Amino acid sequence: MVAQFILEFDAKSYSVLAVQKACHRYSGQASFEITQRLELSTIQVIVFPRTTKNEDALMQNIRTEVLDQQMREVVRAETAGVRNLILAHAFSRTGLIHEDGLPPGKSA
Amino acid sequence: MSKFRPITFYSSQPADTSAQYQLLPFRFTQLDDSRYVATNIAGEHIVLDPPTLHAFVGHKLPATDPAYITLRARHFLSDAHSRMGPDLLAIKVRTRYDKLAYWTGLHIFVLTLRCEHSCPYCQVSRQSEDKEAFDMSKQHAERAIALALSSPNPNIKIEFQGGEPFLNFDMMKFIVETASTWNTKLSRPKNLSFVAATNLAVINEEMLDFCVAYNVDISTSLDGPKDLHNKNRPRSGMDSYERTISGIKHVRQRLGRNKVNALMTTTLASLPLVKEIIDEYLSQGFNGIFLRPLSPYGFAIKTKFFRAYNAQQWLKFYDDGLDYIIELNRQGVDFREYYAATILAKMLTCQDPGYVDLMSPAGIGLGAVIYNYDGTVYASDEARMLAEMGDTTFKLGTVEDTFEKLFTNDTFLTALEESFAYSSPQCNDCAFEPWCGADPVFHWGQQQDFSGRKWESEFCQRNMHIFKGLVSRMESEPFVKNLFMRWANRC
Repeated sequence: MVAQFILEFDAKSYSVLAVQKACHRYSGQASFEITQRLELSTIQVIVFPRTTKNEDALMQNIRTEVLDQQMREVVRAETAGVRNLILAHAFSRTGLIHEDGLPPGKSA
Repeated sequence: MSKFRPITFYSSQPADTSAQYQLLPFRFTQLDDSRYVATNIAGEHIVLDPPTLHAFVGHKLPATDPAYITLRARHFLSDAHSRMGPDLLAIKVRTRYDKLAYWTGLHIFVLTLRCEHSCPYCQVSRQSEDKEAFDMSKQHAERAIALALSSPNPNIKIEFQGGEPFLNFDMMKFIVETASTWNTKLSRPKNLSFVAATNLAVINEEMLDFCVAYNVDISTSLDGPKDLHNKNRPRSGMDSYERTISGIKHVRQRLGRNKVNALMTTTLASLPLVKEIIDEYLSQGFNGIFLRPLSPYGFAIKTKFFRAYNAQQWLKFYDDGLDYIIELNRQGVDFREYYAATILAKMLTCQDPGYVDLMSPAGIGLGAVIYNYDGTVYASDEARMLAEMGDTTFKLGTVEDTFEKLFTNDTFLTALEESFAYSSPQCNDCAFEPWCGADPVFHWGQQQDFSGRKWESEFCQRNMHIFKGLVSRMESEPFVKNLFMRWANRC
């Protein structure tokens, strides 16, 4: 049986979503149990690798990915408004949206 | 009043480290151990090292940093000098998705399942030549033509497929003539074009006369040198190669040099022969090649051809081929790899070439639709191949249905929605999403999941490798960057 290992992340620096997304990316190599430990302000991840190969690399990759996911969240939150504005502007005159809800090229 | 800001405005870049800038939407993905690729919402990209990326996200990148200027020019940030960034990005996004509003342009008619070849990798459940029960009827053809001409798209391409479509030549003539006549009666006639996907083995003068008269383009199969082609594509007489080459020459003489294109399929026997395959295309006067893996449908699954090699083996074949083509160009030979050229158009221009496998929302139904010989309508060519294997998940309906009914089919809309890469797990965070696509038929066939588990997906594995390879090659050599720019702009 392959040995499990535990990773801990500071809940003040990382969100649960960032940790979840990072684990999801490595679902092919391991399964995960994620717990938010409020009393310790940590997010605990129990990692169950599928093989014994490259456990150190897996641990390192998950840590890097959590940091990347956290940065992605920062970018996503900071650009949410402008992203919606750009998309609304981009699709405003495509004809994909008809005021009567009919498909393009069909009149009421 | 001048329409331009004074020159002093451009020379007064903030020199300190506290430049005020706003992030614009972007994604990033590791290119390798020391670099990230970042793409903006319109698909423009930049390669950054980790410290620069962290400084940029943390608003600590000095305006004097060379990366800052590029990030601003490519709309990753806006500052006092570039308030137009969001507007320009919106225009680029609008241009990129322009084709969506036109709906389906490619209408594929499966004229017959009959074929005189017996290729073991065939994706279609072909039938022998004498079984006319597998031919399209006039009644079905007329209904399908009416549906094709109902599409809002002003450019309609009708493609004939099989089996071998020229084995049902009478039906091809009927469809071309009927569609052309009906088109002239529309209040706004379509820009109507035709293409026949054929092995060229049975084409004769009468057929060529007809193709000349109605401007029917030819798309054929050429797998490589004679031995490989004949091994991959057996037929009685083992003369598929000879017939294809003679057919290509004949079509060029009658229709014109650029009226015939060829496609190859990679089998296990092809893997060590990528240079020989490319040389064959060069010697036959083609300007490029589309290096294609096998698709997991039909006979390719039954005969276990699909599993004969894995994604890594095919990627090695692809990389070797692409590097060889780059080397040929370095020696002055103008030759392209079409899959790379399609991706490069998405990477380096605001245009989307509309290649069905690399569209999101998925190209099924939106990019192409299939009218099968029996009157069934499928969302893509692969969808009908899946149906031939007994899975009719992507059946839209029949030619007796209305256009609106076919395209508001629940399964179709669910597949589009669930596979939309912009909101699909992992794809949503991936820097390559603007260049990639959703392939719900592939993922359904492989995993019974429209979106697909990416860590198991050969589609994801293959495309990620190719995207990274294209970026790395451009980054490492200015010659390749210039070459790829030319490919992108001619796609």
